Amino acid sequence: MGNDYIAFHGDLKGLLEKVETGEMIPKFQASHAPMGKFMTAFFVLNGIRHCVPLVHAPTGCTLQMSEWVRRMDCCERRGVPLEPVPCTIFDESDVIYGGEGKLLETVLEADKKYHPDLIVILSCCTAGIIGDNVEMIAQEAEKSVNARVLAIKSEGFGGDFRSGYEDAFKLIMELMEPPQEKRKGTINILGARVGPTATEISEDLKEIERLLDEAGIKINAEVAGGCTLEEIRRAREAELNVSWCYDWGQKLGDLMKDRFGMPYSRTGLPYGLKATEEWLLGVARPLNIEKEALEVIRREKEKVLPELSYLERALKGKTAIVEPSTVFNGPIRGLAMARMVEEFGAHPIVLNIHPYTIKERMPSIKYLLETGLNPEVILTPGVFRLGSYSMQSETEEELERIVQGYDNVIYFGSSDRYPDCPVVNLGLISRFPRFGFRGIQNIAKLVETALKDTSRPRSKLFKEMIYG
Amino acid sequence: MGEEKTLIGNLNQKLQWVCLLLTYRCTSECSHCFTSSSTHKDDPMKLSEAQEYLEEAKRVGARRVWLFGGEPFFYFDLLLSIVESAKQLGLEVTTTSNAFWATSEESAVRRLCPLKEKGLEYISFSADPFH
Repeated sequence: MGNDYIAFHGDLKGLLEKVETGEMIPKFQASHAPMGKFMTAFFVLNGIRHCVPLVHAPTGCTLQMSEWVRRMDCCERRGVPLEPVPCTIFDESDVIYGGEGKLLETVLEADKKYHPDLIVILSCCTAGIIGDNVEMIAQEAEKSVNARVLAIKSEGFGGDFRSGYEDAFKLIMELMEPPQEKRKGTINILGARVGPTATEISEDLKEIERLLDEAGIKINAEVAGGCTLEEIRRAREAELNVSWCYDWGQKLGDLMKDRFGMPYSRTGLPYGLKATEEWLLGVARPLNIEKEALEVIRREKEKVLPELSYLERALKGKTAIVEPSTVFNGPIRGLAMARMVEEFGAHPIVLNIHPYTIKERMPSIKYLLETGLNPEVILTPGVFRLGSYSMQSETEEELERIVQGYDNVIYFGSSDRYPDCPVVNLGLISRFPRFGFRGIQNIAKLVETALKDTSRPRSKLFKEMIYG
Repeated sequence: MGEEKTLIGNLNQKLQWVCLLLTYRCTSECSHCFTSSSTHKDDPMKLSEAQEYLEEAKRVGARRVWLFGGEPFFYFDLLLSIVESAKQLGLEVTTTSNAFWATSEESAVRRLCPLKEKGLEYISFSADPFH
């Protein structure tokens, strides 16, 4: 294979090393613009019910956020209402004289208007530059309103993708009260984000809830996946913390472990049989209900035996090219998918995970490497071109050339790609569980469809007509 | 939680028909129009372009083509030619119009007969307070 369309070819560990040394990170961030601190903090807080994120900024920050979320993510696509997002509408005189008085008034108004349980002030760049003391205003405001009032210094220059949600989780921890009792067999699920600003799909959570319920495990709170302030207050009464999205959730798990001594079960995403077993047993063992969990696994496994057998027959000996960026927000689910296909006998190659996403999720990537997941990785030059990298025509052409270099290939990604091999359209599964045993059934169905439809003609011309 | 909500159903759905928007020009400017068609637009699809799409539709297994707009009857000769081309490829042809041209029985016949001769099988009319 020539290398004019290969920018990196190695394994995940090798890529991580190049990211850590800065070798694979472009100096100017033209090819990938990750969410900033304000946005990721906002995403976490939006998962708390009856919480008002109050933006201390000019109107643009709020409008951009609420409009983006409203149009792209919740109301118009999924029918989930967006909670009110008040804004201080910072103007020129606030920049000169300070916006603290206005912020105090806005908190009082938001409390009077919406009667929330919690108000969280999120400061943006302007407020950060002039040095408004948002934490002091939160303390002052709390004396005059019924809601709890807290603040995060979330100005864009003050941190990155990771720091936003880490600070939000730290703030959530401040709301947790000393336990009145320990509730046996009860857990918190950390890292879930289902609600107006979901980055996961609720169907995955339902599958987890179903398996936990079968094993007799109760959930106190899903933080921050639609949990209430009361559930957060009582979070320390749970016996165990469990990761769901361990990329976002692990910080909170680690912090609660360090500060409150709460045990924390951290495993990979439950894609496929092995990972699902590990996930469920990782919860059950610390709760001393391993026997019950094993019985659930036995029963569920029996139900999916045809799919397990099919996946082994279908994938054994194949090269599976997994391209996470076409269907997932980050690299973690793609890597979980790679592990799943490997379990069924395929050789996974993960294509085009942007080095920035490796940088953003460094602790999670290191954890995955510790668990032994270290798939082959290929990055193409198209990834680094200007603009959004996920659907560039350059990367599509490169994919087609890469596929030609292997025998017996199967592609896992979006149906928008046209490689000369069976295409497992992961986009079709977006409203169905991918986790757990039902996920195995669904993914088996997608693989079956891809292999059956290999000879079906597809039209690039129509793709161009529709998407340009 | 029902099985139908957690498991993917039948995925064996093939492309059945292709809809071509021949123009965004229309006699009306309905607020609900999904193509935002209007009286000011004048941008018909080229016949050669339409023929390319019809051939591609046939190649990927479509059985029917739906000629839509805007108002496809604005470009009647183009409509006739596309119907003829589609029919020659063995595609069933349907069109939709708001029937602005059907001001009398005579004018309606003058439009519909040639279309039928070229092979149009179905026609649907938009008949509502907007049209």
